[in-house]
Amino acid sequence: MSESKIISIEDQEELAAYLEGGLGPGERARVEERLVRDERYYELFEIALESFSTEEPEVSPAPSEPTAFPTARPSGPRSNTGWLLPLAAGLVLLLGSFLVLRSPGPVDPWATLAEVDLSGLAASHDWSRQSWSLPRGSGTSSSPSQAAFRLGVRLVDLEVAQRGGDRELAVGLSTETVLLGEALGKRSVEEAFRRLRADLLEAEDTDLGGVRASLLAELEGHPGLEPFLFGAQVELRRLLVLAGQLKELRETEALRLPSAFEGNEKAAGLMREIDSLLRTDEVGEVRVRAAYDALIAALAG
Amino acid sequence: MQTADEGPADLRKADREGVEKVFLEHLSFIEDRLEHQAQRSSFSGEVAEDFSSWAKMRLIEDGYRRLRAFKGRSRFTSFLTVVIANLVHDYRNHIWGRYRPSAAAKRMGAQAVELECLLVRDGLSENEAVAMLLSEGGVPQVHEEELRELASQLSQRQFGRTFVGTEELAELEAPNTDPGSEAQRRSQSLELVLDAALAGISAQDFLILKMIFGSGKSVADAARALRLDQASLYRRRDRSLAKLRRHLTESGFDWSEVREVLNWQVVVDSQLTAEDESEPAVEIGTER
Repeated sequence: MSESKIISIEDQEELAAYLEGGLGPGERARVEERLVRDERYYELFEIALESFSTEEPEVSPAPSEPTAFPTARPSGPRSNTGWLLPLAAGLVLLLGSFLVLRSPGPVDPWATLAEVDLSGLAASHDWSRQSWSLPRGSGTSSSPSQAAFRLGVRLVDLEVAQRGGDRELAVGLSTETVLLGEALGKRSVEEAFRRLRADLLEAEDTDLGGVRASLLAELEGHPGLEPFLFGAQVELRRLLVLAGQLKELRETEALRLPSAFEGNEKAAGLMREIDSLLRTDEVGEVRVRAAYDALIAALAG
Repeated sequence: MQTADEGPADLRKADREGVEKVFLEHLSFIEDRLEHQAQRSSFSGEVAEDFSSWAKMRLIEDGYRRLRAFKGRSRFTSFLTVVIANLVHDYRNHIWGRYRPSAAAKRMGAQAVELECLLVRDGLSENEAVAMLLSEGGVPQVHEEELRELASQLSQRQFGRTFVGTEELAELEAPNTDPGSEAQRRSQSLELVLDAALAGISAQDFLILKMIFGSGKSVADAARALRLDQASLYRRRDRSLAKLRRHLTESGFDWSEVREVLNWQVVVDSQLTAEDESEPAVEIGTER
């Protein structure tokens, strides 16, 4: 194929203008000449065309007050796995500090998990598959229970990312936690995460333990507390599977679906499925992990 | 609600908060576009989520570098659409390499794309590919019979492909393994053909032919994309094709080789008729 030039952002804007018919005759001819000669540029044209042929969705208005969205600082491209190596060292400490903080009931499954070594996670290429993704509509479309559940999941991810030294991922996750805090309807929670994100952006020391403590205090008596704790536990179990600690996971107490999710038949079915899988020694990690992934998807909304 | 027509005029001098605000305002639009592209690319659940996260990271990295380059030459939503298209292109290359799912597999759904990927790109046998998908299926359960049926349908689509045993393979003459030579020769041939072609017809005429015969677009799609009158495009297509063939033949090129160099997989040797697009006089040769 013909030599492909680098497609700069300027080129992309020019192509956008071409596709909406906004260029003059000379500019159009230049774009068409390149479309004929540059295969890479033509492939981009084809892909973009597919979106142009669909009706444009609406654009949401800006939040009523300015949201200090994270601006990732210049950094090299994020490797999928390279940063996982330093992560291993921090994981036992992470679980020790996070899991014993709060017991959701008479039996504390987290206390058992706190003894488990997650260093095997470093060898996994899949943990970041659940990397951050913003809730649709800037977080306002999630129900408070869904938002609380997702907050639990993401707070664990955030701590893992931060301790692993992946600042870019931590900043992204902190953005999601701000939006989830907003969806939770707890101004103080939202503010706590804004401060956390600002610290991450400024590369200052961040006190995640303090954030967790104040978060739990704020959620005392709030209907989001139970889903939040449940989300954290589910994510910790998923990470255990990824770390190759299935045997240890089999020894933990079974989780119970929070009352906020009663009626969610899919989630209830997946909980039963997970229990059943964990009771069967022959079942491998792939199926258990898939079940946890599906459970998170079913409850995160 | 703000409409998609509204948007910033120029972001080059906007401060960080300003760009963040624009990003947030368009977050829903961005996620819709990402979802659309994931569907068009037949990314399954986990891959789609990974793509969405990766693409958003690319948009915010380096202080929203991509968004801050916006000069206002197009609508902001059009600009975003192309930037996201470029990201999906990169992501496809990352996960697919040089392999591209066939149109047939895409039509059959994400499971068929995954299956074809294992069969064609990774070179697994049907048994191996089915076993792998079953072991990764987890929840929801994947049924072996469905996968076998998909594999059967996909194999019927492999037009002209012949499989030989290892003994026969060993007896075949080894191909030229120099990675540069074939690509280089092809690139040079293409350049020559393009130079000659564009001396005979305009770039826009050639683009029309490329879209129709190279990409399999309908005349209606090409007309819409290039903002041309559809009715006249049938005649223009035929005239351009005839002119191109004559010009290239007179320039010493063999038409069948030209088609191969251009990678036009739609056979254009048949006589073209302009009237009925739904029954094109062109013959579809192979799936892309």
